Amino acid sequence: MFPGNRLKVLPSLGLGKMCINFSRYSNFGGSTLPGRLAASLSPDILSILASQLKEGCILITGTNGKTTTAYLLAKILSQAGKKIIHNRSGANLISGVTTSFIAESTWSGKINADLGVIEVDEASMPAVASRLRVKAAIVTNLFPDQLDRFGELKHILKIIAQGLNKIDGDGFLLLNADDPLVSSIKKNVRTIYYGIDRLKGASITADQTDIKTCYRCGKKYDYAHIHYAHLGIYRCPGCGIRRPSPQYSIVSHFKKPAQSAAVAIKTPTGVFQFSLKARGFYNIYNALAAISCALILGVREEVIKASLRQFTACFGRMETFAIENKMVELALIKNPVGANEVLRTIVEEDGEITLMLAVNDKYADGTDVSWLWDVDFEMLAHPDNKIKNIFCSGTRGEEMSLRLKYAGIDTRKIKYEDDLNIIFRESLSNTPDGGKLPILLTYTAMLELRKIINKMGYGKKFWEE
Amino acid sequence: MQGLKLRFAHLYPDLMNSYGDRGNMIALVMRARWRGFSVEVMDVSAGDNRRITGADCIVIGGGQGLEERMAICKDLQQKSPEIHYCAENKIPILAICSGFQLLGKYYLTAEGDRIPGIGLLDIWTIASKRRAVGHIALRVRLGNMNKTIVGFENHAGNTFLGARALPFGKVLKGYGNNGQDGKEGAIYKNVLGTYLHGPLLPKHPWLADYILEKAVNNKYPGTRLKLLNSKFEKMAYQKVLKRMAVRC
Repeated sequence: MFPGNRLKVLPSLGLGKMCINFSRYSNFGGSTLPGRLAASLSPDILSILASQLKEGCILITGTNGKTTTAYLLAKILSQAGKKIIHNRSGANLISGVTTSFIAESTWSGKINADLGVIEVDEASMPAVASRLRVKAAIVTNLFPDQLDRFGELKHILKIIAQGLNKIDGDGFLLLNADDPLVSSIKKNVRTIYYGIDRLKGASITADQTDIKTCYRCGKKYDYAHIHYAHLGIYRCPGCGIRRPSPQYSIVSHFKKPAQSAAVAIKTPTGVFQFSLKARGFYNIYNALAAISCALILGVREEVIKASLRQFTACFGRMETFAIENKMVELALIKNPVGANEVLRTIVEEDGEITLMLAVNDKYADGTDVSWLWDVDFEMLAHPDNKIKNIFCSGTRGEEMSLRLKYAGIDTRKIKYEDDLNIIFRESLSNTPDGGKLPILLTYTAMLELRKIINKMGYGKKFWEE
Repeated sequence: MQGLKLRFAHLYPDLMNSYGDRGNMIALVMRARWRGFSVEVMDVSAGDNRRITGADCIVIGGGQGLEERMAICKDLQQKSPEIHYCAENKIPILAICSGFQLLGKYYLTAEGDRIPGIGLLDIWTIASKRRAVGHIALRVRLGNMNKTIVGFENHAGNTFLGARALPFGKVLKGYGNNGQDGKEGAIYKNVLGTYLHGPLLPKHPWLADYILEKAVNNKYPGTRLKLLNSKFEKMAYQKVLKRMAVRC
C-alpha cells in the first residue's frame, strides 16, 4: 500500500479516534459512531487500514454464537503469539468493524497486527468482506432471527454466500455440518465441516418453532438425532441430501462439577481432549468452531488448552458480575432458539428462582417482538422450577409480562416496571444474599443495563476486557 | 364450566409457525383452561391422516418458504373436504398469513406458477416484489363490537377478495391485503383469515373470547363465558397503540 493512500484518510481517522476517546471518557461505549463518521468522510478507510494486516482476516457469521466464537478464537490466537484485531464489543455492522480498526490503528494510520478476527452481521457480509482480505470464514448456524429486518432464511443464506466469494484461494471455509442450511453452502475453496456426534445422555428436544423441512425439496428431514432446534444429524427422504461427515466432531461430552465439562473432539489426526468452563449447550458449538479453526491454522493443542482455561462466557452471553454479594448473570436473548437454551440453563439450577427480563423493540433489537411467543417460557411454570418473582422491563416489557401470564405463571409473581434502573434494584433486593439473579435482555436493553451497572461501580467496560 | 371439554386442532404446528403464531393457540387454550374447560390440542402435521372433523376450533399459522407452501398445499388438498365440512358447520377457523392464503382459491408465484388453495375463502393472492413489513392497525366490526386491532404484518403477496368474502377489517395504518383497497383479511361464516402476526389473540382477548364462544356454543349451546381479568392484555395492547400513534 502506498503511504499516500494512508495519508489521505488521516483526517477522518483522527476524527474517528477523537470520537472514540470522547465517547469512552463520557462513559458512552461508542462502538459504531466513530466508524460511521470516519467512513462518511473516507469511504475506503476500512480497506486501507485492513490491507495492512499481514495475514488477512477471519470472518465469523451466522445467527447465534458469533460473539463467543470470535472471542474464543481471538483469545486462542493471541495465546499463540499472534497480534489480533477483534471487534469484541459485538459491533458487527460495517460501522462497528470500521470503529475496531480505527481504535487499533496509530494516529498515523498504521496497523500493527497480524490477523483480524471479525464477527460480521449476516446481512453485512458482502459489504464487510469486500473491504477485507479474507483468509477464512466460519458460518455457525442459521435460525429465524429478526425476520422483519432480514427477510426469509434462504435470502440470508444467499447474502452470506455472496460475502463468502471473497475468501482467498488458499483460504478455507469452516461450516457447521449439523445445520442443513449452513452445510448447503458450496464455494470454490477448501471447505471443512464441524459438528457434534450423537452423544450419550444428550437431550432430544424438538422445538416446534424452527424450520425442519428440506431447503431443496420441502420434504421433512429425517433426524437420527436432534441436538437442538434444527441442528442435528439429518437426511432428506426426498432428495437424499444428508449431513456431511465433519472432519472435526465432538465425540464425547461429560458434565463435571462447577459448571465445567470434559469434551473430546475427533480431528483428522487424532482426538483432542480438554475441559471447558462455560454453560449452555450452544457454548459447546462455539468452542468447537473456534478450536477447529485454530487447529486448522496450526495452533498447538497445549496453547488451545491454556486459553480455554481462561474462558468465561463473554459480553453478555451469560456473563456474571458480583454485586452486593449476589451473582448477577446477564444473558442476551434475540431469538427463540437462543432464549430457550438460556432458559434451560436457568431452570437446571436448584432452589427458588428470581429472574429479570428486559425486552426492547428498537432497531438493533428487532422491532417485531412476536418471537417471544415462540420461546418456551412455559418451562418456568413447571412445578419443579420454583419461581419466586419475575421482573419485567424494557420498551416492550408489557408484552413480556403478558407472555409470562400465558405461559401459566401466577400473575402475582410478575412485576412490571418501565424504569430499568428501578426494576434492576428491585430485582437485586429480592435476590437472597449469596444467591443468583439471571437477567435476560435484548441488545439495547443490555447496553442500558451495563451502563447502570458501571455507574454503580461494578463491571468492566467492554473496551477494557 | 367444570367437566366441559374442548378439542382444538392445530394444523402444521411444526411447519406453519412464524413470528409467534403459536401465541394464538396458546391464548385460546389458556383462556379456556382458566375458565375450567378441559382442553385437548391435536397437532396435525403433513402426512397425518387423523380426522379433524371432531375439532371444536381449528388454527393454522403462517409459514416461511415456498417449498413449505408446496408441501403443505398438497397435504391440505387431502384435508380440504374435512375443513370445508367444519367451516360449513360453523366451526371457527383462524388462519394467519400463508395459512390464510392457502384457504383461498390460489396463489400465483413470481414465476407464474399457480399453487392451488382449497377455495374455502373467495380470495386469491399474487406474489409481489415488495415485501410488506411493519406494524399494522385495523378497525374491525364483529357482531356488535367495533374495535381497533394491532399486529405485525410480513408478507410478499397481494390478496384480493371476491364477492363471497367479507374483509376482516379496514386498514388504519399499514399495508393490508394488497396496499390498494384498504381491506385486511377475510371472513366467511366463522372462518377468519388475516395477515396479522403479532400474534393476534393474546393482545385482543375479546377476539380470542369471540372465537372461543363460537367453539363452545357449537358444542354446548347457550353457554356464556365467564369474564377474565385482562389487565396485562390491556397494558401490552395500549403500548402498541401508543407506539403506532393510533387512537383506540
